Amino acid sequence: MFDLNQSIASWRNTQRSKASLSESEVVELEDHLRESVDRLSSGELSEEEAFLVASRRLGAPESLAQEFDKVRPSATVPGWVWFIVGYLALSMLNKGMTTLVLGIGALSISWGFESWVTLVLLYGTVLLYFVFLVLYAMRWVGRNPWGTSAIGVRILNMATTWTGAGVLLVAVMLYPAVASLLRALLISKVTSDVGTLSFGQFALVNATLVQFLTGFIPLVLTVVLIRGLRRSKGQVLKQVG
Amino acid sequence: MISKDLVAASSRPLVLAILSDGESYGYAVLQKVKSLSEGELEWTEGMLYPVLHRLEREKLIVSRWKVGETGRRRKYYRLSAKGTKGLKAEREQWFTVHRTLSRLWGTQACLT
Repeated sequence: MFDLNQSIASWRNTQRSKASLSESEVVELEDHLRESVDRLSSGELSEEEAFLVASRRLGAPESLAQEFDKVRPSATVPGWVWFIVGYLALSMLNKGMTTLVLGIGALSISWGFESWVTLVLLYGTVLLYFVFLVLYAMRWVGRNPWGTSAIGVRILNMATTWTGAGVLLVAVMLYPAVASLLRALLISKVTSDVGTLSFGQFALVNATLVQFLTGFIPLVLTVVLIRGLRRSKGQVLKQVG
Repeated sequence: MISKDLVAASSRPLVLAILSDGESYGYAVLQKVKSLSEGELEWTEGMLYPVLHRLEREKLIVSRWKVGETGRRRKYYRLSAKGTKGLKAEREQWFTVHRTLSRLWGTQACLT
């Protein structure tokens, strides 16, 4: 037995995931779909036939997504801008998380906790990155675990407007995961082999290098972004207007 | 049947012109296009909404949500002051194209 509400609910889910439409866009299209079904089924068509015709007339989710994407603000800004913005956002996320975890790690050592507590925290960071990667991959293949309003999805959506940016972002996210894993292994080796002093020296050199690299790259990219934006400002504004 | 490109190009003046008659919503706008063009202008229905949203972003039209007779939430659009000017500009452009083509093809397809 055909259930219109159930069919519309599954149509809604498809629009949210495949076409990445926002809630208000889905509500607006649903009103259209329902009115169309009402009109069609008041004629010769059954409710089921009317639903099939009406949803087909509304358009396939993929082509709808294409048209909706064209009018989103992100479509009027060049892909490379979104790539750098995405990279900077992820770098900050990376830096914030690393600082937090290392801070907690340092505190746990100074409070005299065992080194395994520190290691659990460091491995935890790695795990979090992998969770993030999995979520990103899910978004990539069109399964959206957050709903379309989440800020994370917005940032990732922007990044995926340019395919190359997506591939590079995965690499960027993979780097800290691998680096954290190596660091955690190194620290566990150093702490078991040598005394506290060497561990301190090692940690200092390691932290300085890592901070320099993770700080330097976003700095360069920020300069590139500002210069590029200045140059293409006229062009971007023209596209928006 | 009108080509896809021409359908897309004419969507803007059509929506503005229909909304200049008063507030309306997506489905009603489509019905109006269908009846005025006697079915010649066929849109993939969902494509109207990105057009409406673009015009809204350009502040040519404004929208508000209302609960209709059906009890469902429905988004209504109307022309803004900027939209009235935009419609005038569109009209002039389309008349220019029409005039030019009419001179080439004769007066058979006169708009008035």
